Amino acid sequence: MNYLGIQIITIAFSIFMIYFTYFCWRREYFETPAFFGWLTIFVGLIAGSVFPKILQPFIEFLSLARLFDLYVIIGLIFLTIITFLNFLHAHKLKNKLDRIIQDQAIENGNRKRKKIHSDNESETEPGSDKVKT
Amino acid sequence: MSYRIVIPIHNEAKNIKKLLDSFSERHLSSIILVNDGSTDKTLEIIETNYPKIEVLSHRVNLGKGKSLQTGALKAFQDKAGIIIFMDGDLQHKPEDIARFLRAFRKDPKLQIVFGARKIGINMRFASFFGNKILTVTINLLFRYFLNDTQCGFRAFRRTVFPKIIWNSPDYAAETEIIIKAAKNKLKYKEIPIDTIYLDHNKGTYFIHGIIILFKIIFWRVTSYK
Repeated sequence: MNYLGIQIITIAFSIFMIYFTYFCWRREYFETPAFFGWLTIFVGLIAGSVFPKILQPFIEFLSLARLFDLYVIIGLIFLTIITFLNFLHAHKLKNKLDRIIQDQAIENGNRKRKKIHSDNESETEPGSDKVKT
Repeated sequence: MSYRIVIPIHNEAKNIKKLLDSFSERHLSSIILVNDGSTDKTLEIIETNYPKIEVLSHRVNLGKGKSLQTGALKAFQDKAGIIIFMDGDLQHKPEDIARFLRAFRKDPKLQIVFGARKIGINMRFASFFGNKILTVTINLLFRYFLNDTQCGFRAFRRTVFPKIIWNSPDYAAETEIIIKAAKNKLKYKEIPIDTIYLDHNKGTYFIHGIIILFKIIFWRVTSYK
């Protein structure tokens, strides 16, 4: 079967992504292990599209009809993992942010209250039946 | 008995003066207003007209659950004996605060008190129906028999706060408090209060009710603590 069209698109895309990943790594958007991880994936994409026959044993083992099906399955699994990791990360960040905002609100409130109390000579003790003079 | 009243507010410029004017001088000093990222003149009105009221301001809107959490944490830090939650949209009458406190004074073993509106009176049908479904579900799944599980007017002892501290950032927080109270078998009481709806466009919508219902079932199915 002729995979030329898919090979061209895959190689062009992978080369672009390798360049972009290198660019982001040089700007220190992420660390070196992440760079090599992504590099492996894009180089693997090129290898898989240039030498499709190397995946033949996997296709036979998994009883798939064709190579394209294998690519679709791997792609979907990969997308799911990435989406889940993004969800996890976003959630962790949200929790941290909420905590920071809440702590800031309490801290600012305490500061304002100290200022108000220091301005007053007599005050009512908050939330009780007694008046402190 | 020391107490703090936590009132979460978001864009209540229209109602905030009326709300704070309805409190007596004694209660006013015990209020913790949690301004949840209001974008209107709510904060300005409070600072101009009520400079002595304690206001905790979230820089951005976090949701009712987080606002209640911030206020409760502050009240807990201040060692308030009783922590009272009220809504900031004039749905609750400050006169009822005394009844909540009396309930705690009368029964030293009482741990949490819930306000209960007369379901059906002055309520939209959707609110009535949603409330009924959620209340019956909680009663059945958790054996905690309340008449109104969606009322935001409630009070609990300071010692109980670590047992009921909630994670929900939104309206589900009120339900989560009940679930945790039920799981911890806290002694509770319901106090009837009036049903007041000034703005039918605020509060929970149908979709919130569906989400809360799923959460209730999820909390029951998992060993939720």
